[in-house]
Amino acid sequence: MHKHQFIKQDCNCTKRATIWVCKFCETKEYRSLQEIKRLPPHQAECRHQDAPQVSPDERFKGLLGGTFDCLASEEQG
Amino acid sequence: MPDARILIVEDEPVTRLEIAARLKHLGYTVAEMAFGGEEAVHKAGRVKPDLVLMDITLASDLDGIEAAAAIRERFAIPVVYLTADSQPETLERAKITGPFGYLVKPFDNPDLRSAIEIALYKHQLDLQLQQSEDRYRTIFENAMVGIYRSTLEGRFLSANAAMAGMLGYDSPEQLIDGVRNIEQQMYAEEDRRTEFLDLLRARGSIEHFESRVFGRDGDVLWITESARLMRSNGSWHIDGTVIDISARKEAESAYKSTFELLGRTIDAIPDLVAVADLEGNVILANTAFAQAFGLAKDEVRAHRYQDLVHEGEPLSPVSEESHERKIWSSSLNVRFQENVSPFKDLQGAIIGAVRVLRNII
Repeated sequence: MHKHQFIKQDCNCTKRATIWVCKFCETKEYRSLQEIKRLPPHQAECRHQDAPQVSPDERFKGLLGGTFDCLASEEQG
Repeated sequence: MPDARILIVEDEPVTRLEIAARLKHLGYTVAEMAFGGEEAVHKAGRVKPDLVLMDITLASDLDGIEAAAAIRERFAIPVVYLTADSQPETLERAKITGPFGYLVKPFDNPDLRSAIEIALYKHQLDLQLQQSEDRYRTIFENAMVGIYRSTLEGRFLSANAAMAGMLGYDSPEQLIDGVRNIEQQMYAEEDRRTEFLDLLRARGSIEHFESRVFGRDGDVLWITESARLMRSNGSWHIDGTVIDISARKEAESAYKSTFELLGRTIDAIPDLVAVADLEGNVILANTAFAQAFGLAKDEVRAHRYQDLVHEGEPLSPVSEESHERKIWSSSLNVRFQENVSPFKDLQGAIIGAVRVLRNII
């Protein structure tokens, strides 16, 4: 399974929830930072072949109700 | 307060001196005297008397009422009006300045003393009330938890900075202006606000009511609310406190997920698996173990391992190393290969055992 890698559409936006764009498939989501880092499987999955694969651990836990961190690395703290 | 310092404001010189003499006779100190409004305001600011006796009809730039208003506003010094004029219009004007009393001329010494003492006492009460209000306001504004007052219809009447900040607003005023309907704008789940109000109306108060709410920017957070239904000025309102518990909810979710993983792991094992403490109390068991003894998984925890597996037999000891032995389960009439492995706490001390029973045919 591939997962989205979201970046802020407006990198200067200071709102707590804002528009995020997947840098691979360009899917948009209006979420807070906390939500982007904890997306359920159906919202985390990316169809683009170049999007990163989820780790086996993440995938397995996702099947038990776990969430996926879809924040792109360049957005990380 | 016999040594109170009093400013006399009277434009008639004879009357002014007479009042001064009477005050001294009564044991008060004449802090200053003034004959006009402007002078009175200036002297009040300079000498800061405990009280002002103000002729209501000064024939000067500022009349007595205007001077009294200025003194109250700038210096918060109590004013007692001296008046021979009891015209309703004059009294109406005078009332607005918040006087601490009236003395109608001519007045005797007991009247003068009573008016002064009552005015000073009321002023002290006012100061205490103001201090109390200031303390409350400081607590309200600086509290780390969100505090609010709202109408039953869903408008905020007041809120502190913590409440506004929690929801993403820059100030309490922005929160109060921005949220016109708490039910529609805040609660993520439909009917959650209705449930909150129903409980509040039924009990008068509510504690630890957890809800998902939207912040100003549409982000979602978890809050816990405690509130009370209050009545004032003839109408009902809600006074409440709010704490952001999003982090706690996140931790609970992660814990639940991990526990789910553990539970399903041991449920997948066909052998009978139980985790028991050193006395044999079952802490955790898999489905196979529970089903073997005709119990639900949560029912197993009410039993001791040795009572379920081999009644009357002592619990096999647990040691640093895993060990195996063959046992006969009198309750199931089955021979098992029992494997006992130590279960240790974070410091490495043995606190129980993982006991696995494999059917021996």
